[in-house]
Amino acid sequence: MIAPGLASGHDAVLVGEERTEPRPTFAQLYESEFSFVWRSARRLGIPAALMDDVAQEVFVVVYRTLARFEGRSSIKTWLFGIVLNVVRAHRRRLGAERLHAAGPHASPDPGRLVDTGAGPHELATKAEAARLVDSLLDALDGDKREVFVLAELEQMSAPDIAQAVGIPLNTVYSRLRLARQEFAAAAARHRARDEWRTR
Amino acid sequence: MSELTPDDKALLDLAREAHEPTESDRGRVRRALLVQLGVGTGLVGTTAATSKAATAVVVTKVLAAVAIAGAIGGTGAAVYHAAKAGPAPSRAHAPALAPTPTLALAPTPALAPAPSQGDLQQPSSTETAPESDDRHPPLLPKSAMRANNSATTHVATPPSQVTSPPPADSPGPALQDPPVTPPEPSTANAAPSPLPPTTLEAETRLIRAGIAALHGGDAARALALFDEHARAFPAGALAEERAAERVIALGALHRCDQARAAAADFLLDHPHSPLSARVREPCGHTSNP
Repeated sequence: MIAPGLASGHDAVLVGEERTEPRPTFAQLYESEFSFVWRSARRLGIPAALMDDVAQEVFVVVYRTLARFEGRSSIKTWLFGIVLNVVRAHRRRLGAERLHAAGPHASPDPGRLVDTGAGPHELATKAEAARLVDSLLDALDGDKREVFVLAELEQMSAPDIAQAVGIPLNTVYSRLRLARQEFAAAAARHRARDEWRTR
Repeated sequence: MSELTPDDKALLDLAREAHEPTESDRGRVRRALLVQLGVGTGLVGTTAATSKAATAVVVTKVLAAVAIAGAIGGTGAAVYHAAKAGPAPSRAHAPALAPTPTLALAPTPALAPAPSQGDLQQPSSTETAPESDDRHPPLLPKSAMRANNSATTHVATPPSQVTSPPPADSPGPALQDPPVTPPEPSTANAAPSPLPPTTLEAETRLIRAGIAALHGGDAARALALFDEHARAFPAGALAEERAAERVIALGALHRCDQARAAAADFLLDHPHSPLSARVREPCGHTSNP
C-alpha cells in the first residue's frame, strides 16, 4: 500500500503461483479443516468449555506458519501436529491443576471412569456412545490416545500418524497395539457390567 | 493387528460423528480470529465484506463481542504463554510444525527454505509487537490490526522470498493472505496512517468503556454509557451488545424490575442472539426485587 511497486510485483508473483499450484488459503483452510481441528482436540480430551480457546489458538498458529507448510506431509497431518502441540500445552496446564485439586483421584482408573451409569438402552444414542468413548479415551494416557484417535476415529494410516505425531512408525504400531488392548479391555469391562446388571 | 472386537468398532463408529463442531462454534471462533488476526485472514469472505465499511462493521462488532466475553476468555492467554514457554519437547520436526510463533522463527535450513536476511534480524522486534497486541485487541481495528498483520506476515514472509520466487515445492507464503500482501516491511515500523474516527469507532469506544466500567464495579457509570450509546446510536451496529450489557448493568444495580423488562425486550428484539443467555437472569434465579 505504501510502496505500490513492490506490492503489485508481489501480487503478480503470488497470483501466478496460485494458478499453477493451488494451495489453500487460510480462509479456505479454516472452512475445510475447522471440523477436523475441533473434533481432534475434543477427542484428545479438551473439554467443550475450552474448545474456543484451543481452536482459536490452533488457527492462529496455522495463520502464522502456513507459509512454512511445505507439502511434505498432507495438510491434515500438518494440522494435527499443531493441534497436538496446543492440546499438549493445555493438557500440561490442566493436568497440573487437576493434580493440585484432586490429589490421588487424578490418576485415571479405567474401571471407574468407564462406569458412567449408561445402560445398553441409552447406548443406543450416539451421544451416549460418544460419552462412553470419551471415558474410554480418558483412560488412555496421552501418547496412546493420540495414536488411537487418529487410527480408529480419524482412520489415518500409520505412516501419516507417524508424521502427524512426530514419532517413528514402529512406535505408532506399538502404541496403537497397546491402546487397542487397553481400550478393548475397558470396553469389555463396561459391557460385562452392563450385561450383569441388566440380565 | 487390531484387538478391537466388532462391538468396539461399532461403538467407535457410533461415536465418530460426535465432537463435530456446530455452525455456531465455527462462527464464534471465526469472529475471535478476525479480532486477533485482523481482516487480512480473508475470513470475512463469508460475509461478502469486500467494502471497507462492511469489514469495519464486522471487526468493530467483534471487538465489542470480545470485550464482552473478555472476562470469560481469560484462559487463552495463559495457555498461549504456556505454549510459548514450553513447546512440546519431543518434536522431531518442530520447525515445520512450529507450534508457536516463536518457534516459527527458528530458521532451519532443511525445513524452512525462505528465511535469508530479514528473518534473522527481525524476529524479536516484529514478533513481540503483534503478540502483545493479540491478547488485547486494539481499539482501532483497521489501522492497528493492519500494522499488526503486516508485521506478522513479514515474519513468515521475508520480502526476499517474494521477489525471487522459491522452488515449486516451497510455498508462496503470502498466497494465503491476499489482503495483507500489499504492505511491505516498512509498514510494520512506520506509523500507520491514522484513519479518521468513524461512528463505529465511537460506538465501540462507548460500549467498551461501558463494559470496562461494568467489570470495574461501576455499574452506574456503565449504565450511563450504555444509555448514551442508545441515544447517540439507537440503531447502531452495536445496539444488540449495548442492549444486552444494559440488562447486566441494571441487574448489577439491583434494579431488577427494569432489568427483567429490558431483558424481555432484548429477547424479543434479538431472539437468536448469542448474548441471550447472558441476559436471561439479570438478578439471579432466587433474588427478589
